[in-house]
Amino acid sequence: MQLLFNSVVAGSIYALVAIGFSLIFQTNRFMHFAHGSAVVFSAYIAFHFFSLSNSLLIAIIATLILSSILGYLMHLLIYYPLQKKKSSSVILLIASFGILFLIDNGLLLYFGSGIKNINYFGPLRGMEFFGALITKPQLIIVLSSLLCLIFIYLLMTKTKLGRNLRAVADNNDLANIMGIESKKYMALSFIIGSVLASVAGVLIALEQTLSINMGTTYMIKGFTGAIIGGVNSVPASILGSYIVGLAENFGVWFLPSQFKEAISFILLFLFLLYKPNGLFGIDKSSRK
Amino acid sequence: MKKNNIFNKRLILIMAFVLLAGLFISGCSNNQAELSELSDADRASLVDGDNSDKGQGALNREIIFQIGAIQPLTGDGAAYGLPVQRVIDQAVLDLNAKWKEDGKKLQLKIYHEDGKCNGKEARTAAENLVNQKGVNIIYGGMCSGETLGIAPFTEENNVLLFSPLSSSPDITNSGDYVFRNYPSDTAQVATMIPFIVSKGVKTIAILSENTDYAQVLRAGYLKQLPELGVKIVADEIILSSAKDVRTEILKMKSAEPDAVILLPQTIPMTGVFAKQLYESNFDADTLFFSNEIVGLDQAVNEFGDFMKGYFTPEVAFLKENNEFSSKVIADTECDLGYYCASTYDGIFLLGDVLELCGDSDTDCLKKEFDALENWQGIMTTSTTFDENGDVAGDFVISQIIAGTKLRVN
Amino acid sequence: MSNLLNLNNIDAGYGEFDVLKNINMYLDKHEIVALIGPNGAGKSTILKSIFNISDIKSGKIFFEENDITNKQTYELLNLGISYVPQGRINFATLTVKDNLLIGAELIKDKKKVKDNLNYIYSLFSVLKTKRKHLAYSLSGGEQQMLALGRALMDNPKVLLLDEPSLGLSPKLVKETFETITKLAKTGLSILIVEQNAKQALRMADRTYLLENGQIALEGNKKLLNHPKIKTIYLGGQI
Repeated sequence: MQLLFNSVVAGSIYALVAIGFSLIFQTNRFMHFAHGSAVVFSAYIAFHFFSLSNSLLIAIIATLILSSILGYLMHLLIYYPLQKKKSSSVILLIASFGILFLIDNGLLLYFGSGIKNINYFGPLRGMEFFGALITKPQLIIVLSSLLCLIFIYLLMTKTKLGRNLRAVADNNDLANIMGIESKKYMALSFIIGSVLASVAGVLIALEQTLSINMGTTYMIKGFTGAIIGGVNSVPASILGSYIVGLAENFGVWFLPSQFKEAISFILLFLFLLYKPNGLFGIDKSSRK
Repeated sequence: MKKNNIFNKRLILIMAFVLLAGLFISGCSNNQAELSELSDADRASLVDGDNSDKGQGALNREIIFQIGAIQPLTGDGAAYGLPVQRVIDQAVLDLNAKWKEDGKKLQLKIYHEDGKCNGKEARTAAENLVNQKGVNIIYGGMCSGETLGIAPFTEENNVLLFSPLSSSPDITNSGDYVFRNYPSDTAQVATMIPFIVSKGVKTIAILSENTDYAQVLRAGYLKQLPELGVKIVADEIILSSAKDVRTEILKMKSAEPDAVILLPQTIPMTGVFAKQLYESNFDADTLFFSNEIVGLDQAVNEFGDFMKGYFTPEVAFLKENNEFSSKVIADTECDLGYYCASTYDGIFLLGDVLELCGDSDTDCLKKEFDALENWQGIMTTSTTFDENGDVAGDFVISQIIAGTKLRVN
Repeated sequence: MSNLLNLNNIDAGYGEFDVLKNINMYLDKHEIVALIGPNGAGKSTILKSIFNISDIKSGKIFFEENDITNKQTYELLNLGISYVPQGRINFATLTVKDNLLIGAELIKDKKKVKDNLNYIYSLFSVLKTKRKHLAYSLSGGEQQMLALGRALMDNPKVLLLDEPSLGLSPKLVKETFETITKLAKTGLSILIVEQNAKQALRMADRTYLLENGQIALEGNKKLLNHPKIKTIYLGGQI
């Protein structure tokens, strides 16, 4: 039971990362690996503003705003010019690594490598709940993620903006023919993705100590979740992320702890090789 | 209209390769060797190529000794590596000032390199120091892993390796030119085990980080505790990169141990262990023991709330109630207890030996190190090296209570 | 120049690749005009030039006396030109209803959108029945209707159709052409590219024959009896 809960907590954060990644992938047609940096960037910004103002609210607002700006700038300054030149997906992928190093090392330079902590909650015992121990931050993570997921679902299915975003993701050329400015929506996907990443970043900052390497770690987990579920579909990516959470936690129960990361990698490679469209994803090439 | 199937095999393999490469590179990318900040006066007095002569003496020119220092400057180890670096720099300044005051025309110059708390990286750092900077003495490493990585290289090249902080028993026999001013972990284990048994512990769980230092301690406990009737009911080894150990802790908890031993390598990992153990609601009677990392002031200040009641060991060579110590610690912002003292005094110990031998005659240095008896430091008490270059170890055990520690033996 | 749509001396292609040479043609109100010819003749390129998704090297295109040669997509849509590309392309992962709504993307008036939607449903009742289905689950013929329906959602004046019967069964081909004829009767002007020369000639008011990027023949239904057409296009290809 505890394992299940741990999996849900982990999966929730991975899901937030995976949605952004999947959305950006679908709309822009390349793998934006620097997405993890948006997460760690947000976490550090949240820490920074919290230490300055001692107000969680200010920290959250600042983080959301700055992260969306970061996301938009990544698109505007680096990806879009390359896309205009019709660069291949591999080139964009490499560019995303460049951004990743830039952001990670920038954070390292500015914040240093010491441990950072937002001790908002103080020492907490877990609370008993159906046989599992739950701490307040963990509860907040699960609930916040859920709220975000619901919000995204409503946005994507019930609004015109969401529909247009999905249209661009589905078929960029056709969208343009229909009068939908795909450039606008490609930029929008970065902003939405970065906002979600920033939520993940804030939640992580509340629950754990920060370190620069976390960006890559969460990127991989989110990426794995998206691939396992199906990167071509946002709901599938969410499911895939929870599966990663489950695999990690249940795997560690039976195997030595060192295998935790290895589990994710093994799953990732298996899926990339044999089922690249994931368990629930849509294979866009096999339609009539 | 283009088809949308991008997942042909070739692209998958490219992606996978790029992903791995990116991980590998980004793991190594935090590579800024922070050079020490000497004051301008010190910088001005350093002249390249003006090297030391043998022997002491009334020479008209100033003799400049050059040594290298290796400690973790980036990564999780930097939490204690950076304060140590500051202490080293302060000690160098103070030593140079003392020599000046005594009328001796001697200067110590030090080059810092990043060991990243990792044997391979530390070895590369040592190679840089010896091959490019031309030093013959290395003050370091800090993590045992670093020292163990450096030793084979320094032994091959007749370079003196003097660590003020590494504790692994494996260092004892790592070389003729290897000395350390910190007791071997065998002494730590030897102190803790009787104490653990004396508390009536019958079953115990071990939570350790996957590094040389922590694993040696773990091995010690694994071997010796059962011999005294204490059963090891859970044994979890955690990768240094892990942030969530709740499942491992769950495994430990379900084994219902009387006590838990924590063996983290770094202060950030201490936080991870302590917080998540606290959240996991162990039985109120459960006792917690640890290594000395957990007891470092910095760790207690950050995570003390989660570690109430923990028993931690500390080396017993600290001079008590020392005003000068307090000043040094405040100036360098070193919140690491004995680590600060040992590091500081180690420079002065080196200084004494350098006065006799200069910095390039390693055999002379070795002779003088061996000859030291009851050397008195400013912040530490007596130092004597045995035939292996080790010092004897006396540990005291303290219990963490409401943000401070209370000695219990 | 009182034609609805006019192409004057158009040279066009894709990047370095030249396709059309000195094209002069027109479309009048309430007309169905067909473009026939062999593969690669440049028929689709003519439609793409009108809709500004190819590169126009020289010449001008006029719509209702306005120069539309370099206008943006949304401007063309607002003027009343709709384009249905080849291949029954739809937004596969969106529902039928969403697909149609996107067709009305540029219409601000919610009521108008609703009215247009109902009109399309009345034209193609199967789209109403399957309005909550995802587009990729539709049959070939239904997808064609969806593509057409979406293009009609914003009440265009001109419809540019690129090979609407491609890949459909004979029965569906017949139905498609019936629909197009019906649409023309509602006042729509249609420019249609077709491989099926026979059907195109029968349905259209006028036809252009394109060969190697140039107009080889122009005429009305009488072209059915033209020797060239008879032997090459009615005997040979479908």
